[in-house]
Amino acid sequence: MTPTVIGRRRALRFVGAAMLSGVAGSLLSATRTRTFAQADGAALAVFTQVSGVLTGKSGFDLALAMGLYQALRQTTPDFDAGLVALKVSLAQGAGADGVLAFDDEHKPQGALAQAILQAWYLGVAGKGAKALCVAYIETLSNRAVAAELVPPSYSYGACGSWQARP
Amino acid sequence: MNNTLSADIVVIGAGICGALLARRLALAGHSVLMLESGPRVKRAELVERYRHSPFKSDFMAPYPYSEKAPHPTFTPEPNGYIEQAGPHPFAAQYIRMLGGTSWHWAAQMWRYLPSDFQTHTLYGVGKDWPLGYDELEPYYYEAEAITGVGGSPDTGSPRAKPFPMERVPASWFQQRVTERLAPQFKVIDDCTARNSRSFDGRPVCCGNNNCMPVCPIDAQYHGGIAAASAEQAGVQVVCEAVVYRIEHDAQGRITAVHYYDWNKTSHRVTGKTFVLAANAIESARLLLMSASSAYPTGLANRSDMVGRNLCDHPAIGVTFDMDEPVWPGRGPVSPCSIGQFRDGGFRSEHAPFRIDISNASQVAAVTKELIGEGVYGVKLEGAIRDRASRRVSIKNALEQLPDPDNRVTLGAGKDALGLPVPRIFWNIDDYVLKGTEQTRRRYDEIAAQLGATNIKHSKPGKFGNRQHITGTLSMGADPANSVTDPFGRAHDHPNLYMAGTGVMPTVGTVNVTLTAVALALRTADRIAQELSHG
Repeated sequence: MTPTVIGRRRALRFVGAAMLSGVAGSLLSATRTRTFAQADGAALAVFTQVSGVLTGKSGFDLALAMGLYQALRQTTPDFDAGLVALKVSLAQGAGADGVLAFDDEHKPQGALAQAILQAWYLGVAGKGAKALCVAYIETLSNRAVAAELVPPSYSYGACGSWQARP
Repeated sequence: MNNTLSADIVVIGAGICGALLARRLALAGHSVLMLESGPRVKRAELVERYRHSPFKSDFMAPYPYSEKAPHPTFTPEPNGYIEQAGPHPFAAQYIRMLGGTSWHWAAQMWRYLPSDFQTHTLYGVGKDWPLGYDELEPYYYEAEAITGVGGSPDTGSPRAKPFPMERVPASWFQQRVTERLAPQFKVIDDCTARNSRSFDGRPVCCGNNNCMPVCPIDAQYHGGIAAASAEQAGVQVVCEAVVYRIEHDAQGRITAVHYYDWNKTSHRVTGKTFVLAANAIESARLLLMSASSAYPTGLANRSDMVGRNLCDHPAIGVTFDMDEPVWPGRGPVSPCSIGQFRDGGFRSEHAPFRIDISNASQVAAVTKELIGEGVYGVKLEGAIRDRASRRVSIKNALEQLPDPDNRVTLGAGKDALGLPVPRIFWNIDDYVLKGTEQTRRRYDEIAAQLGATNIKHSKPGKFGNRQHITGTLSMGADPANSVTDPFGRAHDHPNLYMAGTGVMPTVGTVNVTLTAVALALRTADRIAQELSHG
């Protein structure tokens, strides 16, 4: 069978703008989204600002950002206060050359930074029994490799299409 | 108590072996009833559970856990279902569900080597089987034909007929690793039950790269397909039926089995012939639970061998970053391996092993790693791409020798139905430890040849379980040191047979399912013969 070259972004193309995994989907109906954005706009703004520094990205999908924010708030004690402290630390330069470095006093902020990165890159908020899967195909790690790979459980392409050099 | 169910043949356990044995007997015209302790679950539900799971690297996570038919679980915390009594934990993973454990495998379907059947004669270690490769060869082929197996012809296992299925084409990753490791290491295609063409009403592999924990499209064979085919052949299946006692008469003939449904109502099922196929751990557990005044150490256990000689393939691993981007994660998860250390005179000194090269996507693993290292911002995405494209993950399968002290017994704890949980004592001997040293040497050579950096060996002294569980119901010619005869019939009970990997006296150097299925088909033929003469 001749391998055919098929755009790897197929899986993501079918997803649409803001299709979220079960938990986030139930966290956010359209009404709740609107209500939430109005009531907690300020808190969300801090979250997206800090997320922008941590991920190096901007222009986040609003529904995804809200889903992750809600899930992080649910699984992390004092999340909003922690966010504010983390924002300050990052502004003061807690990471040079792309590697975060927090001293012992600021260890909790280091942990929070990693929790936020886990949420954006792996779609999971929290740990252990409290862990919530908010997103899968839209995660930043799956998007990062979308030209070469599909998220496991999605179709790559015709049998043998993986023979070709990516 | 309900007293309504009966069949000529009663099969306990609806995994791949029980189901294919049941199917064969139903096709031969017998009435067959198959009892499964777990639930019936659709594939689509499993795929959805996987996609929504926060624990995607836990292969058990998509599978429902049933208190009434418990199995070991590991996330979010290990449930400790199996009591661990030995120096090494036997971290068994199995699925109590219609179709059984092979729902979450990579469809590896290997024949043993001829020498695997006689390691005692050839190398002075282990045990000789009570049958040889040649006797099993036709059944190997039948099992391959039912499940659609393709693979490399250069395995060392002689074949009378070619593979029934063409191999799935090798990914770029596999091609590059193969070229770079030659000639010192010969990387071969694995023997797998994976469709490279439409077969058996199931589609071709399209590279979902999710074989473990679940193939979304059934391009690979698994026990769920076997169970469905058994029902199609006329096998009556009852799920949520937890057999807790096997009943016998004064002559030792099995007269019935008793099961609890999930409301803990007891049911009695009668039959002429009974087949225990509930996996190597749960089958031993049931025999021990069925102890009676006539059989105080458990049924089928005059030899005191039930539960003993437990073996798996202890495994060690290594990961590293190759010096060129090769992008694992395209195509099937376990496509290739190195088989040249499976056999030879050295087997008298140290464990042989097979080396498995993974093609699973490494994206999640490298992302977790990088976040843990503190990488962030624009650097993180590039680092994920870099590592995910070059990360090689290798593990092995070491042959462990049967040791009667490695065993399954009944634990002190009770499950939700009040039945004693399994307890396992497992140790690793010098034979395996010496094989491990050899493996490490080979891993380092492989890493060097691939220009590796960031080399990480698994923790010294720790072993993973490959879930190739054998030995607990060992077949043998001598009733004094085996549980079943060479056809899987219990020495102590003329109408009780056993199927599954538990009857295998040694674990060999490859995944065990094909051998277990071949033996189960042979056992089915034997049962049919007996019934036609009886």
